[in-house]
Amino acid sequence: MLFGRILSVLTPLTMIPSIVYCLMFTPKEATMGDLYRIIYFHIPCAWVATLAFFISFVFSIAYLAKRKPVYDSIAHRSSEAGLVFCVLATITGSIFATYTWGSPWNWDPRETSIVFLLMIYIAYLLLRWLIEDRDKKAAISAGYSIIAFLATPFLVFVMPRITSSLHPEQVGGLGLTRPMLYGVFGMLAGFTFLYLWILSLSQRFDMEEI
Amino acid sequence: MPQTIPGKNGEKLRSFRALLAKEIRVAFRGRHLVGVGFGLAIVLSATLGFSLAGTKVGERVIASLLWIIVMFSSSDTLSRSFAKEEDEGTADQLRLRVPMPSVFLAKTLANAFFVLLIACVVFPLLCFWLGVRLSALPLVGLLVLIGCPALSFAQGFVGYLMSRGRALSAAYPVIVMPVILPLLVCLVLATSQALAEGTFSINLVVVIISESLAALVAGLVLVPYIEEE
Repeated sequence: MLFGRILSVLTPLTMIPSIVYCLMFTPKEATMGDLYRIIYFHIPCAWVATLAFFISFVFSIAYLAKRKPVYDSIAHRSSEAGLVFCVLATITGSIFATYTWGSPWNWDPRETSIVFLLMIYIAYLLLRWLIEDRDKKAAISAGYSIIAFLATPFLVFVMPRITSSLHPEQVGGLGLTRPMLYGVFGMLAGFTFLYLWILSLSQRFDMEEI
Repeated sequence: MPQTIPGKNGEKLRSFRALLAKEIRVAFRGRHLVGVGFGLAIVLSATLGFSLAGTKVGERVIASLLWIIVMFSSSDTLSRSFAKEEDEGTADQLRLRVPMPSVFLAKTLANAFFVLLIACVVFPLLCFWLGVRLSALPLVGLLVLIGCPALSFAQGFVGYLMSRGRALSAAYPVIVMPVILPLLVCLVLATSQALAEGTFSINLVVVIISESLAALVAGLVLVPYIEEE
């Protein structure tokens, strides 16, 4: 409860100044101009999606070890939040790709990876939806979440490195200046608090139901 | 350090061997493996061979076709193997007599053997119909030998989970596909590299082996926890 209240203050306190700073006070990028500003949303969305899937993985392990419904609720709600941020990362990435690479979809390894992640967690939610019994649902979906997360490091870290990519970190780096980096870190913090706030709210609803 | 009870491990090994033999025997006696597994593999290969006759097919396309046919022809065998025990009511007896990880391992290994058999049918047919370079065959054959067990290991635990939730078998392909997709992509990339005359990246083979072994070990570790439910 207290955690939720702290986050409800911390989230706007971090996000609003970060958005204003990123959109109005950071310099233009040398080649892309203002277009690059989308990375202030794209990078945090991708980061929060990965964090959310990791939290879901950790709480799935915790559920199988301790069998506490609260752990299952956190794992479930974290996957849902992760899925939303994953969709946002895909949309912002597609907008960026349209203007820089000429097409919203290029089958770049990172684009492919994010689609695989979306499919994995849609399947996870589908699995939960298909099972009626609460305990069975929690145990089976925890097992699925763990096995599904095993694919995540491969998709996020390995696949983009074993195949050629259009992404900036493989073609000369992002080239961000110090003020731009401050903006990225501010947004990362804001989005992380936003995710934790969403998680605490949705999890509280679950607990009231139980 | 945990103490091992004399004779207990030998007993486990014996029951594991008996289970493995039973799985293989039942699969050959039943009509499912021969009728659906091999049948589907031959029909799909023939259809694709006929459709693509006379056209120049790239290595990537041949590799994709090979693994997609193998995956679809074999995906049903594993989920059926677990679900059959639940439907026939033999699963509880199995749980009483044999540790569940042994059951899981026996079923997954038996499935790896069936996938390999299906690949042994699909692979020569596709090579013959789509005109694969003869010099590429040993490397591709080796990838088939590694890839078939890898595919089985990667989907083994999901097959087991689906059998625990009744009425889930219809959704099996939708639930298992996202989990095995990264492995499938690696298999396709490695096979297309092997089919082409250029360089071959061993990194892909390392990823295939490590990913599938991680899935198998995770399955073995998690099965007892799921059984507690």
